[in-house]
Amino acid sequence: MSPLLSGIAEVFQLLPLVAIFLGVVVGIIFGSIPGLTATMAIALCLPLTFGVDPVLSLCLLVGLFVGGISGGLITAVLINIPGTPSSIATAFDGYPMTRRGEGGRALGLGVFYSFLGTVVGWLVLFFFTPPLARMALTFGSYEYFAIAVFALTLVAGLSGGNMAKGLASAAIGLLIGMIGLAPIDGYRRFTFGWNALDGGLSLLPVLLGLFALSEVLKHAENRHEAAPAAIPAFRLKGFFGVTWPDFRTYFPNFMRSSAIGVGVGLLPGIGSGTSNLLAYMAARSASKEPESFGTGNPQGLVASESANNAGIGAAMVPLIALGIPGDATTALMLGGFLIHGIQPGPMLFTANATLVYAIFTALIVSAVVMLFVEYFGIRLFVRVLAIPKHYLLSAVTVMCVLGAYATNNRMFDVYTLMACGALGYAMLKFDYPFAPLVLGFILGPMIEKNLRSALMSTRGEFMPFLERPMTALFLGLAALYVLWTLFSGFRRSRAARHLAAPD
Amino acid sequence: MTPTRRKDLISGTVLLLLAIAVFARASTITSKFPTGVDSGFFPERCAAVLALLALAILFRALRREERGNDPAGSEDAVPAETGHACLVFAAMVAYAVLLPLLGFILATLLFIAAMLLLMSASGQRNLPAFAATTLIVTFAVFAIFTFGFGVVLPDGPF
Repeated sequence: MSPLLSGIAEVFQLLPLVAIFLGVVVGIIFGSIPGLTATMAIALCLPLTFGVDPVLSLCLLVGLFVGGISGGLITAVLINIPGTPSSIATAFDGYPMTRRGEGGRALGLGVFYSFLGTVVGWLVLFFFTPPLARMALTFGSYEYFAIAVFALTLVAGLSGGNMAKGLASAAIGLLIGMIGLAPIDGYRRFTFGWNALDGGLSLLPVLLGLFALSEVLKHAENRHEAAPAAIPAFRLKGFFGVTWPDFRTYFPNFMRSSAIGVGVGLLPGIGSGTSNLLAYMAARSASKEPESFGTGNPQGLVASESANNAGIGAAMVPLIALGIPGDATTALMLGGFLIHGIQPGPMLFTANATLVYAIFTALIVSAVVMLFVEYFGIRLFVRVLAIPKHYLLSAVTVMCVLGAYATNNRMFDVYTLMACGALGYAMLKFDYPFAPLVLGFILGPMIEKNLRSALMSTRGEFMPFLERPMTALFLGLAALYVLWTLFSGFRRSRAARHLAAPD
Repeated sequence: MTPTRRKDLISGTVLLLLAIAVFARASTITSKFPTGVDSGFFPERCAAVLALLALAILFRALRREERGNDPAGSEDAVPAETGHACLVFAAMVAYAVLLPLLGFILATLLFIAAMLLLMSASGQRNLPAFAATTLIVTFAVFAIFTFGFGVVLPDGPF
């Protein structure tokens, strides 16, 4: 049986389908509650995948991803607070629609185009990944080094905040990743005689600490926040409130926004958090009535939700084909792979093509499940929003501690968790982005190993790196990007100074 | 001194010191093999880059004060209670310390109760609901992890 068919067969069994369903539901809950994110949901569920069949765990994680990105639209539309950054632009026109009494239609549109966007992303994943993986088979240490550096640079620059802080965060991630035995010669680095550190810091406690625990600490600052606003009543009518004439009208917008979502998703460093805004702005410029955007024009909603969901499949392309995650969420999915001893990358197609096709199948099934769950279950999710935060966050903390402990059955990982929670909180307070640190931590060993292998082949010379086209391309892009960002930042501050200084 | 500038000065200085310390440590690493670079190569380079970045951050913060404009420096509308966050962190650390001593169930019961009290505003303290939540969450998580996933949780005196 071909890997495609066996992959499909793996997913269409009871347990994997249940896993997808649970993943989507939990993802939507986390995605819709402001303060809890899709990334947190995946991080918390990673420990649940220990000792569980790889296909099952990947089904769960994919479901979480899809549910998480989509769930943000519910709160964005109903109470003008996006549950995740991927739905910021959804609120711009979704909330005015709710105020006009068209909340049901806004939700229906959002859900429907989330689904369609996911399908577009899935098509990209399905058709782009195999050829990319084949191309990657020709990659050597030089290429992997260059691509990983490029990805890291892009993430550093695009994570919000300024480039210097992003790069500093990446550097810290790289350094933390160096704790333990070095690649190639096994030298003990930065362990200070502590045997527990020989294996380095485990990925899961670091991720849980940074993403989940730091959020809990941040919430601890604002005990007195107001209770969630009352949710206005709404009704979902017809086929998601989308009529055939509507579909025809929105089609060009949908295609353009999905394309933006895919392009952004493919690039490392930016994802659904940016694509929804870009698509919204593009839709507004292309519209014949740009001033209606922001007052409840459905096109804005369509643009935002198509783009953010299209990014899901696209973001998984570099992860599966190259083994290089493009953002924090896919970095966590990589964690999910590694827990089961699976190394994504071109070799995965040769070694375990069934698993790859199972993942593809899981994505499209998740999209369908999300469609139905959101359509029938929206009222229940709205109910969950009313639960006071302290209940949820207490449970989240216990899950984090348990998850960290379960990694290696030792308390040391719990201490790592705490330390990273404190680090994450400090980073939040001092405005340093997380994503570069996570990517630095994950990609660091790969960068170093490939760099050192390559240098061993070239006897310490760096020029041979630039003689290889792909390597030169990616290193060149990385350098250009850094320079361009610095230059435009410099020009902006000079312009600001001109404006500020009185003549 | 605006908050943003102070924050950047602090973080820049800390990072610079960290980079120097790492560089110093890494330069003591020697090579095991005759070819290629030693295991100190990469840490040294990263530490050097970090030091440069820290200097850039410090420089930016100092220049911002001279120019006098700081668009992002306004105070928060609601002052953040950082001290309270530290208190919650202390509770988490206490939980980690007590886990091996008291075992999972006892430590978690205490911790969830403490968290619920710490994280809620005074008007929201529904004590019976807190007690119920503490018990339910502790035992549910215990059951899921022990029986569902076969993970052995820390044992206590019992």
